[in-house]
Amino acid sequence: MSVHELENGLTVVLQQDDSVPLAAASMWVRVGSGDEPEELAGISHFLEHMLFKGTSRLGVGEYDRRVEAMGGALNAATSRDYTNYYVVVPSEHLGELLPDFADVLRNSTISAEEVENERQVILEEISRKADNPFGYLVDEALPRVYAEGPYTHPVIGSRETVSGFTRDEIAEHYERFYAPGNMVLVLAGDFGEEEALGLVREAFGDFERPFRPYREELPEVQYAEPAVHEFPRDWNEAYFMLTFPGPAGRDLAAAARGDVVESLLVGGRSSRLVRSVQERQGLVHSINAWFPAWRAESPLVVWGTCEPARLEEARAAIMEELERLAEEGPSGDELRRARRQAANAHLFAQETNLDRAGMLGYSMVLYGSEAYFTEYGREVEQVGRGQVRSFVREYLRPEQASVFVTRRAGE
Amino acid sequence: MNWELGIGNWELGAAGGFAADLSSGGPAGKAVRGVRGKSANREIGVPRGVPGAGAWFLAVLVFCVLLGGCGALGRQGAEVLDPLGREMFALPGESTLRMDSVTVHVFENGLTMLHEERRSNATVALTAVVGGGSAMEPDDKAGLTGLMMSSLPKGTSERSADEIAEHLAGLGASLQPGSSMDYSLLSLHCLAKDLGEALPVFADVLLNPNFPVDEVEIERRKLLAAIRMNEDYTPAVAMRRFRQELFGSHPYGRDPMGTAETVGALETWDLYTQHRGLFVPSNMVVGVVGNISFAEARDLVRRNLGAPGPERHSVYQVDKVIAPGPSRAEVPRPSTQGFVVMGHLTAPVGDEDSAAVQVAATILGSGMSSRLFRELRDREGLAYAVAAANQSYRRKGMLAAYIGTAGENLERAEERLWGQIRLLRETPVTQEELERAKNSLRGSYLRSKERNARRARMLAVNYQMELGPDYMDRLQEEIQAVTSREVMRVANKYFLEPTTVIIRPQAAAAPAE
Repeated sequence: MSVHELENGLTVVLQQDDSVPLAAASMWVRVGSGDEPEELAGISHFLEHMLFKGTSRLGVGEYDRRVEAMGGALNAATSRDYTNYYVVVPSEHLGELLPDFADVLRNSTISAEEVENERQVILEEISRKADNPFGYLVDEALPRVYAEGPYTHPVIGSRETVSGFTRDEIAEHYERFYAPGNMVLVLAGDFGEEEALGLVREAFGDFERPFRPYREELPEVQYAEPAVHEFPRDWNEAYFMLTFPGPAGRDLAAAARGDVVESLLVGGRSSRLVRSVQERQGLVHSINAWFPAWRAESPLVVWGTCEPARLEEARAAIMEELERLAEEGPSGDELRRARRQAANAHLFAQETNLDRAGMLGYSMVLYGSEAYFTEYGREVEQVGRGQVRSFVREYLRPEQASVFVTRRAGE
Repeated sequence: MNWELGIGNWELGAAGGFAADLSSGGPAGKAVRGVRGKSANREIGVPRGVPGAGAWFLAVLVFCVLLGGCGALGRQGAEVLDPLGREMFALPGESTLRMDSVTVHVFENGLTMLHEERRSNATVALTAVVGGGSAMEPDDKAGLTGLMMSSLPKGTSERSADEIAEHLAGLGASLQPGSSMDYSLLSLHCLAKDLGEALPVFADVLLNPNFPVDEVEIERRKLLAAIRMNEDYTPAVAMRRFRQELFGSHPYGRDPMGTAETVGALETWDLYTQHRGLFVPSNMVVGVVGNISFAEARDLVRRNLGAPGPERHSVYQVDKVIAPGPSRAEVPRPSTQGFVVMGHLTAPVGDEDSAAVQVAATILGSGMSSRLFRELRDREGLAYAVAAANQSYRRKGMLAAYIGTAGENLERAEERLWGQIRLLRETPVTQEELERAKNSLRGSYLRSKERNARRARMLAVNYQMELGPDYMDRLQEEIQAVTSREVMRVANKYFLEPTTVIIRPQAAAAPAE
């Protein structure tokens, strides 16, 4: 693996692997919903859609057609801290792909007519999320975890903001953030390093654009006071999230501790919450944890489903397990298992070229280096019993928890 | 829903696809943060992939697209290994065939192993597939196979559920049981260096489960909850009804999870009987893919799964004719969005039409350059989620096209879906579309080889379905030979009057924000 910086500031990471004749390209732009002022909530995601709607050279959908004609596949994703465009093609097409990939990222037209078309698509996307229990809950719950800070609105925005964006606002957002100094390109797969770097220089070397964020620093996070939020929906099951104010994700050691704790709590049948709350007590039908590790302070989430009438019991049982873990700490065997699970999950998540490109890009964007790719396993191995206890004591405190639940009115 | 919002369909049927087929949705599995680890679930409740669709829904469909296809078991070109060379440790009564990268080994007890070595990462995946899945259950035992499979790791004559879970977790290994219409399987994913320690437990779980009553009750409770939760998710509701309409009273028309009534009535004895009938060596194929040599894999499998076993017992078995006509059903529902599924019965797995049907389905609705995506989403802005896919079973296949759209657009959406399907019957596809679809299918196959677990499953399932170890390669050749005339021919053969299910939103849904 090698890391390069072009003269225009674009970071380029190359990772070779010739086991399958494929090559993945993954572009990471450091812009997400966390960079948006409230009135522009959802504009990063809207812009991501617009990048597939034509450039000065390629017509609407032409990039997709060309990639799929090469036997490739492509997509993009918008998060709180970044927007990621990715594509994988048979490696013989890498030279053909990169000029198109660069064109889409550099020269999107963002025509007023296509903005109107895509607005309808995104409004349908919002409706679709509203019908998906956890999709609904994530958009309702996570912004409410905060009183202030970058993450006070959902990534997708709202019907109101999405309905209101003008073509010029979207284009302005594009001009401000899609600048080489604010982007990281990762290539992973079957190619020669020299040759690949040459292709990247050809496609991106003359890309010049200043980076002009709306604000220089991430605003300070202030968590909201803990509260119970009920959302009446006509679903059979109660879907719940318990959220706790967590640390900033940009600390790799904290992320590793969080992942080990996650394994201790919900890493299969031998974990505490699954064994006790789900299987022995039968209080929940499913139980999971999610420590998202965004750049700024991020919530720790325990989520699951249960019979609507048993939510309070389930919540009490979960809290009891958290208190027990804070009190006793894990046993030696238990901790060893949790570390192995966390470390192996990290390895299993690097199987494909695209996996590796994604993990490297995420690492560069969040940690400013390839540390998440290279150092994570070591960090996990260093998580000790005392660290687990202090992590749980500090961050998973029952009195700090907010509860978000959807259930039928009156249940 | 996505943690990260995506633009559209991605890597159909990847990672989560099969799990979906097994568990039929419902919140399950562990969410992994952000894009850290793209192979993991980025979504709660639905498998990874296909952000543009009910991910669950399409993943179910597409899983078998990868398997579906044609051709009989053929062994032309197979190379019999030199018994004095590579096979010097083979035992009498065993035999080995090598076909390109895949080696097929039959043990003396009748068990078959397919092996492919991949040295690019440290992991190995091992999947055991037995012939027989949820379609063989009688109507009043619907859900039996799923409950039996999820109860497998819950205790054996040697080990308790806790011991099994702790042993595997200690190795950081994952164990995934599942069942489909035509087969059932158990998968193991671990570091290659740990396979020797994981496999004895895997084999014990596979061959000697004792279905402790308390543990079966826990699994029953989870399954009943999953059945209820499926009612909460529009694409799942739509798809279940669509299968019912399309396959009629044939078991393929049932929800593989069963109903609250049938699952509630299953007895431990049923699980035991079904297991004893299916899990015998001669009915079992094992796929091993990853960082392990053929000889090592063969020796480990022989040691752990090579003991003689009984012949296949009689098991519940249903055989009915599939012959329902076209139909159209409307389902009112308190949802925000409406949903249309439209489709047809198509060729069974391994049929001579499979390649052309796959090309037709790809042109219609797979990927961002497909007709449905371009016309209904890009041009008309009707939907975020719109796609089509073909899934093939042993007896029949099904094409399903779907769209999620606002209630007031349902009529237009239905008309446009049918218009696009009909167009395949009336007008030859262009050469450009044909080439793109073929390349896209080839690329998709190439990508599927990147994942050990997926590759191991695919090899074992295809062999179990009597399609041979090189089936995917042969299917690719047939796909590359498909002409636009053939696409039109299969469209006219299969895409006649459609079966349609409409989910119509009623006013009761909550606001979308």
